[in-house]
Amino acid sequence: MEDSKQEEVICKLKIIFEKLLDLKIENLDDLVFGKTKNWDSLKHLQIIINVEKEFSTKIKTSDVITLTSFNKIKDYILSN
Amino acid sequence: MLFHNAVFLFLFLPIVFILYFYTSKYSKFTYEYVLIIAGIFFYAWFNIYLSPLIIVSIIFNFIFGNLIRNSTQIIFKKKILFISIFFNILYLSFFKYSDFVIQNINYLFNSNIQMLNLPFPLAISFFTFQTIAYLVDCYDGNIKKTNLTQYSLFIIFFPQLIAGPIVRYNYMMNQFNDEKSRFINRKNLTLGLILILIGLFKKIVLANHLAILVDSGFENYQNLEFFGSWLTSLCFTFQIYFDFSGYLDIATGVALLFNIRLPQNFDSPYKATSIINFWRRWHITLSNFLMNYIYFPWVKSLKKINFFNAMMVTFFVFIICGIWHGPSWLFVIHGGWHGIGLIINHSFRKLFQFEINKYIGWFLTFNYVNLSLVFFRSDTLDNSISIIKGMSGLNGFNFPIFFEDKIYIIIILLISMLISFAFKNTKYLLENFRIENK
Repeated sequence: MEDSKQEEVICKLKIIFEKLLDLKIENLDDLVFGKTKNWDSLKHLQIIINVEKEFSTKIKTSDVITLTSFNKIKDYILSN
Repeated sequence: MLFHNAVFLFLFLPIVFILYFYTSKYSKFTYEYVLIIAGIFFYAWFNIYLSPLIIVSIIFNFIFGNLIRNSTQIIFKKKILFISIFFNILYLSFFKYSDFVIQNINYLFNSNIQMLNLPFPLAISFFTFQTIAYLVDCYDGNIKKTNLTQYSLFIIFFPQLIAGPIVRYNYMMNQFNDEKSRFINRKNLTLGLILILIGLFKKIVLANHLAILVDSGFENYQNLEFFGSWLTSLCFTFQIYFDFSGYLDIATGVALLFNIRLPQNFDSPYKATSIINFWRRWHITLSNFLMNYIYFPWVKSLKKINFFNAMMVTFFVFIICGIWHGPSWLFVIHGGWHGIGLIINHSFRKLFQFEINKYIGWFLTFNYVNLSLVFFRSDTLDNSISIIKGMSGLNGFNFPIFFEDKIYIIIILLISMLISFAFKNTKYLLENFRIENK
């Protein structure tokens, strides 16, 4: 059950990331704010807004800056 | 009391260190009071009459924080958050910008309003931002437990009180409340002392000597030609970096003596290969604050989130960043200059798909930053323009006489360049330092 939920979150996140960052994801660990091409402050915000919409959640103001990688965003969604 | 002051290093710090670990051993709570009293003493040393201002701010914001945390009504919560942030900005503005506003009104309307000549409460710019971050954390429900003692400690912890880094409540309190923090840690002690020495070297040997040439150059700006103006601007670029990063190295080192790890504020900024990259390496906790608490909410609040709007917000956030540095239009120009730099950088990335060569990127970035700092250091716009004119060669090429007894500073400048461009930084040291256990 847990695994399937994780799979679903990863799958949905991948679609958001690939669309917004205009890239083909190979390794999830490589996706880091400021390091991954095109992932700048504006894209970061667009990712956050899309994630909020997709998962019907509200990411706290104070957390936006801490979600600096694909994995951190994934863990955040899974834990909320 | 400054960090590189003998009273601080050889009297204040050892006394607080001994008291802290001595009281920690016998009581679970008194260690907090040692650090709070030390913080008040440290603050009062600059100006005893202004210390009530920080205490007033602590008490008011603690009450605001509690009102926000304990409220169950979201509308009330939001209202208090806005009122409290407004109160903090007003508090800062009143002391920092009153005379600046009066000066500009007098200039614009030819009026003659008397200046207030208010004293400037030290550290107010930093603790205002830190307080705002705390209030937002209260609103977001991130702070589960707090009391006046712990909140006071968060604001008044003396290593980062004067010049940052800007820290978050939970980040600090999780460390303070860790039982392991109560005992002297050999690794932290050694690393802390090494960092203090590195910081002192940066500040006393590098920054303070570079300042001699910078002061003389900016004083005689009308007589500066090509070499003199380049030398002056380059020396300032390295002076400000080593002054600030040296101070923060000492702050990090001192905090480590108490087993507190402060976040890194610099990551070799002069190695940056773009302006975007520069702001991820320079004054990191400030740029994170601006991004998280101003840029993101602002862009998010717009009806249409697109590239153009985001760039406009970027520009205005950097104007705020400029004015935050001090009540002067030159700081606004410095902020705007970086805002424009970021817009150019983002636009280039958007329009052209190729990556610029990293050496060319570095060269352009460094010179862009170097020019921006001419405005930052100048007393008047005339001063900045004259130096930039000199740098372009329009004022001739005769080496100024008043620099002749300061040739040794060129060696300091070369050492500064070598360290900034080629050496690993204190972040690397903090991440990789190991100590053998006997």
